[in-house]
Amino acid sequence: MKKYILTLFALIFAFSAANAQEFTISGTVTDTEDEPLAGVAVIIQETKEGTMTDGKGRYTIEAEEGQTLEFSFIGMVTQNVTIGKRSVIDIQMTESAIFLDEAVAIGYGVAKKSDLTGAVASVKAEDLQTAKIGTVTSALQGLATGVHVTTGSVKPGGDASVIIRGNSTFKSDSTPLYIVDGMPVQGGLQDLSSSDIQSIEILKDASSAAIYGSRGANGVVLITTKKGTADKMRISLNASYGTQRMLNKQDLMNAQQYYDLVSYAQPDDYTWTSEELRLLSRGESTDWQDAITQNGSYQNYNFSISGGSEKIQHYFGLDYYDQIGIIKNSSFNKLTARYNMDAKMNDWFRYGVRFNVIESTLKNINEESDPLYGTMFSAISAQPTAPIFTKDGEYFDGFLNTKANPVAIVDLLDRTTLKSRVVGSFYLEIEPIKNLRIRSDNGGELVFYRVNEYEDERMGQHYTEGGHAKVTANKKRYWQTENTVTYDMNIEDTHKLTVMAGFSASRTEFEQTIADSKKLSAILKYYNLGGAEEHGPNESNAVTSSLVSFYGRATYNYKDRYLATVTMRGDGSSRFAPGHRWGFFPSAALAWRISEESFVKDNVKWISNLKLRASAGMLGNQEIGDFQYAALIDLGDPTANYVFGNNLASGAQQINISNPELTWEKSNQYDIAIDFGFLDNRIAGTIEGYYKRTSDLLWEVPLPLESGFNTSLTNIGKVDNRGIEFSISTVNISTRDFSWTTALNFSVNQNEIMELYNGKTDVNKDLFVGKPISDWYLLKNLGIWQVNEAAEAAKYGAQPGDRKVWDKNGDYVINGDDRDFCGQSTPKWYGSFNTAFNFKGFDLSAFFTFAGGHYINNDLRRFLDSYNVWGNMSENYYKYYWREDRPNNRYPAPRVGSAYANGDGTDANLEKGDYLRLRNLELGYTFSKKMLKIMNMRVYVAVQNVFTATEFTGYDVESSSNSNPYPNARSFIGGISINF
Amino acid sequence: MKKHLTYIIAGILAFTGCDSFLDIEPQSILTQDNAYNNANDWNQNLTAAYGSLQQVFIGKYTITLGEFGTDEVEPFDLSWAAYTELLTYTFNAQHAFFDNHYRECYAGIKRANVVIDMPKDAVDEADYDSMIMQARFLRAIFYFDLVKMYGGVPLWLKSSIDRDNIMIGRSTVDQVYEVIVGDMQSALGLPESWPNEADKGRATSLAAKAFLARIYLQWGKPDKALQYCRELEGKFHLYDDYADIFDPQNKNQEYENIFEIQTKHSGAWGQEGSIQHSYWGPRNVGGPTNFGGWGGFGPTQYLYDSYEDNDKRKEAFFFTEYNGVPQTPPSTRKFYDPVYGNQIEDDDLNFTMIRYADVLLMRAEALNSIGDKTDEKYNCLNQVRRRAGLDDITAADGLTQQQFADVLLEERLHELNCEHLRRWDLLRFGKLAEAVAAATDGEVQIKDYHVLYPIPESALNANDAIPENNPGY
Repeated sequence: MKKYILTLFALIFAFSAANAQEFTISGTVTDTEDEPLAGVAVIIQETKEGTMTDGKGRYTIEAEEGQTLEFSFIGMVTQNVTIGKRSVIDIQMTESAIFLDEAVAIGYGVAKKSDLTGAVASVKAEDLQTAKIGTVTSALQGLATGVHVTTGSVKPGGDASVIIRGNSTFKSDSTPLYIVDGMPVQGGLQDLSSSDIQSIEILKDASSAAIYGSRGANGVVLITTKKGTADKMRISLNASYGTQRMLNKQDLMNAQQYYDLVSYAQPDDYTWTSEELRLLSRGESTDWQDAITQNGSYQNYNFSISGGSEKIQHYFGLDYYDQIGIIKNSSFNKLTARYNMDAKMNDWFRYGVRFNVIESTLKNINEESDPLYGTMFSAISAQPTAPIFTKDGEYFDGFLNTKANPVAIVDLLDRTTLKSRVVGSFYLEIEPIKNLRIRSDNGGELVFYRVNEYEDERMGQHYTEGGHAKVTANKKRYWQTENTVTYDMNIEDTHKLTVMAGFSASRTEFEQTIADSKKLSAILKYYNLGGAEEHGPNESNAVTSSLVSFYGRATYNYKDRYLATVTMRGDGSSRFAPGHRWGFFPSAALAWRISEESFVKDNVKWISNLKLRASAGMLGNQEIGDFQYAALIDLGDPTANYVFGNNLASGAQQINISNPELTWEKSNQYDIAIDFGFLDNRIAGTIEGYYKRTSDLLWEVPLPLESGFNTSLTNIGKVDNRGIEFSISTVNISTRDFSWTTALNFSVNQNEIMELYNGKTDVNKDLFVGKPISDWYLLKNLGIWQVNEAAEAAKYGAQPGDRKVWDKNGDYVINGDDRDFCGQSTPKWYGSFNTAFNFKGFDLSAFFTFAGGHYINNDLRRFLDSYNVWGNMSENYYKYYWREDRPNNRYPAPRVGSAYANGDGTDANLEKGDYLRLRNLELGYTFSKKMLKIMNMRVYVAVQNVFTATEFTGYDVESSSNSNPYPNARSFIGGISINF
Repeated sequence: MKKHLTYIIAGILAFTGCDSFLDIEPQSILTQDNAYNNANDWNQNLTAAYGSLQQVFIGKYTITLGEFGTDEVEPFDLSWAAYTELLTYTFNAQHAFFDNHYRECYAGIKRANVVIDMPKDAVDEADYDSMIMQARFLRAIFYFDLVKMYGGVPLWLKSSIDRDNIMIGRSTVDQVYEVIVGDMQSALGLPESWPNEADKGRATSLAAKAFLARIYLQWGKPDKALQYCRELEGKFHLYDDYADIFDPQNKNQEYENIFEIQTKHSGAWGQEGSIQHSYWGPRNVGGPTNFGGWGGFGPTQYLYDSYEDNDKRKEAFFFTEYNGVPQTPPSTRKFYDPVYGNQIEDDDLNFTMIRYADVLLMRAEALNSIGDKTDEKYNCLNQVRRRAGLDDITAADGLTQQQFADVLLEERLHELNCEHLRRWDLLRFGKLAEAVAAATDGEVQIKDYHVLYPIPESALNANDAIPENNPGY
């Protein structure tokens, strides 16, 4: 190394002495991640002479001072460098805003990006690396248009919600279909290690998603994991560590303020316990939020090795993720191992394996399912006058609101979720005649899931004396076989035709057992339920479903100018009644690559890519649950059980009436788009419009109540989603050692219910024709009745200081008839903005996300911003509640029995959901291979959730309505990544 | 090799392609094909009909409907609009509690109808008759609750459902009562008391008689009511100690309590435990802790103040103070479980739907209504008064028929308050508006149409055969 540098210096001196002479220039061409680029064309513009870089990215060329060297490489922004006196010119090339030759997964095949006809968003592996905490799903936030991802907390093990192109269902599931290496994955991507991912494609329109037929209506997310590359051994090591600080702690009253307010509002009606008085007399106060939260932390270690020969390539990845939550006693850790292998036995036979094992442990004591008892809610509403411990050192247990002392919950509740998952598949592919490939891909999945719970009796009097343990264990078994035949035809590079046909079958079996026991050993807990004194209720259930499908796709390409795709899938699902099981989902798409036409290609140099495409098709949604078509008789529901002779007796009841006609939700989608790339693709983007009409929507149609059945699941109604998506990426500056790129994406979606059933314009004042699914329909808050309005207020049975509610129909009665529309709960628009700089070894990036046009019901305010006899309130309430001497229109007077004071049923607690968030700010430095010889190394620091601009006052603007949220946090992260 | 693989793939295609692959039977839930095989299956359907008693009478919502908007009980959680609306008669047909009550009643009727329509050979003959009688007993109870609340309601008397003919209109009040009486009379064939401990809690002929008395009285046929009251003479007695009536230790003694809705502490809420303690329990003693209630609702001060000071019930039925916390107004002792009351919504309190003190007072009422001139009505009334330590009322007091009725209504208030009877008593005596005004110092003035609750909006929406609601709604 040293010798090499000396030689270089010698050369530099030698050549700079010579003036305007032809001399030898050499250097290395790398990408922004310091990977050498082989095959880069290096051309002297004046003479058109040139050379190419070798396998290590090196080149040597003879040139004169003053000449211009052009470096060009497919998918990279071309660079021109004027030759000065230096004889070593190292180049760092920046990727174009779009890489048209990239291979993109499209389901049962791949296509070149330039050949796509449908709406397929591609997310690159390196973009996913930005979000280091949380799951792959949350990492997708802001990375594609039309894909709305919300996270809202940093709960260990928590996942994000994803909605593609608007909600188009009332009742069935609106999450997209996730496919990892051909295997469907239920419930998001939390098990995946993001470093194993090669690419993610999101199929948004009917043309691209139709190949997944009855499961495609909510869009499809395709994940391809990494493969080894022949003759290129790679070892990577990544380590990162972060610490998290809770955000938006709520400002609540302290003990003195609480005492003051309660004494004012309920002077005779409140009895202070001696423990509370003891605390007050010392001037102390308990901050319950602080008492149950802490600084969180996370660490992530990742190792992978890949490589192989022409014949066989391997990838092995190992990943360990460990997060300690900001609520005490919540944590998540996960170990994943992946092995991928691809082999080529001879010219016509290939095979391979995808194998993934995941083990995770989640401790989650937050009890979200029970919003009024959860840990965070308990802490928010516990009275500040209550001490954590009594003077005897016991947990204080005299709360107004909750089951237990919040600190006792985090100290004592033991709830662990253990998951073991094995997913694997193998494929065989033969090519009996040239360009005809027959492939059989067969896979399976086993998931073992277990929740062990133990509630210690010391948690309080509402917990079972002697302790309570519960074990939930379930197993999922899944297998599938997918068999395809693909034929490629290429007639003189003019007509290119690819035809694929396939058949699939799959089956899911699920079983669950729940065992519940009380009064048992505090040492053995859930590991010895047999030793308990009381047993039950115990439960078990099982369900099986299957799916059989035939599908085909033909793509045609005429001179790279005119592209057409036709897709068809037929699905048979066990979820529907015999005779109604098969559904067919066709689609078609056309694209015209205007930039390939000679009148553009030859005349308009600045246009490097211009494509117009349009598609139409139908998709289905079969996520309706199993056996919904049949009349079912349920056994042992608590509402049907009874007691005879003080013994429990099981009751049986028919719970629904049959509906053999039940069928898929169908969504007809139309999509039109322009893809563009200008100035050598330094500017690239897409403008896309879509219209999606979903019909045969499933809804629990009310039956006459007198039938004793509430509803019958029926296909009714129509919903429209219309939207525009816009994305643009630019390479603003790309020079030898500095580059600046930006990317913006923006999506607008409009949702509207078009039709309900039997000509109804609304269903139970919940869904309205002409309104979005998520519209709020509430009473309108007009502020507070003031003293001079006492007479008018009295007509409503109200007093000055009570909440004033709009009497829409003027009948002097406030009831459901006075409700009105108050905006929607889902964002009308959302998007992201990313900007990145590279300077020599440094990189700096900032990633913003935003959304808006919606209202969130801040459930916390119903407890905090009105007089709450059950617990603590906000400090603002204390300071500004209505009193005759300080009238205002915000906070009702602390009067017990004041109607609508807490805002329930009104829009008083709705808050604007608009926000702009600097989600990630990251600074890194790469030590190149030149410096470190055998490896390159990047070190970085990052801050997540740097700031959020919003009017929302709850824990997080991205969380949905919830009185027991897991707070969000700001994370400070440092990491290192090494590649050999 | 190449050929073999082709065969294998073709084989896989052929094997999985058959449609039977999609035929999957439910594993954890029964279907109509396999749910009704033997006597036990049918018994479980009957059990479910009994299960509806808990939903209709001591469910979270339904528990309030006979009580709120009277003079004896008021809600304390006034921030809950649903409560306030019932209290102040500002509710409309969208009120969630009516919806819940209406659904639960008809769910009970649906469950009873399944048993009533079961095939003759489904169970052996003795069981067949008994099961059908029990189911009809329950159906009568559910229809009785419906007719009291909403007036004439649609009659569903069959278990089969014809999707094309699913809208059934309202019957008249009398038609509904005819069905109720027919059903309840059929239950007179049940045993007076079930010999096996394991059957305690099932309907008995004596319970049917007590209910027939109540039904006929409410229907305005006191002579018929009187007959059934008399038939219960000597079958039941009054406990000396009031606490015995409500003590969970005394479940199903059949001493004073004639029919009890059964509950059982289960170790988790939402099971077979009762919610009564959690809602009625003493307030402000630490939320639902320390054997306190949620503070949902309780007796009015008006009720407590209406007692004579020497009335034993003034102490026996009320907490004026609990664990040092004064209860103003006093909370009731009737739904207090000293063992499991601190478990949220999981106490061990049976709910006594009808007890002998009520029968005695009904008998006095019936006698008074038909103008009976004997001492019988005084004897009945005085049995109840004597236990309370009150003086007898005799013919010598010279009360007119109306004055006697007023005394009776007051006595019913003092004896039976908080037992879900007050609204119907006040309606029967024509005093609802008066009592509500008196208890609220005239703040709540009810309208004539408030004698009926509205048919829930959801029922109107789902049934085209009910074109409009009760007048006024």
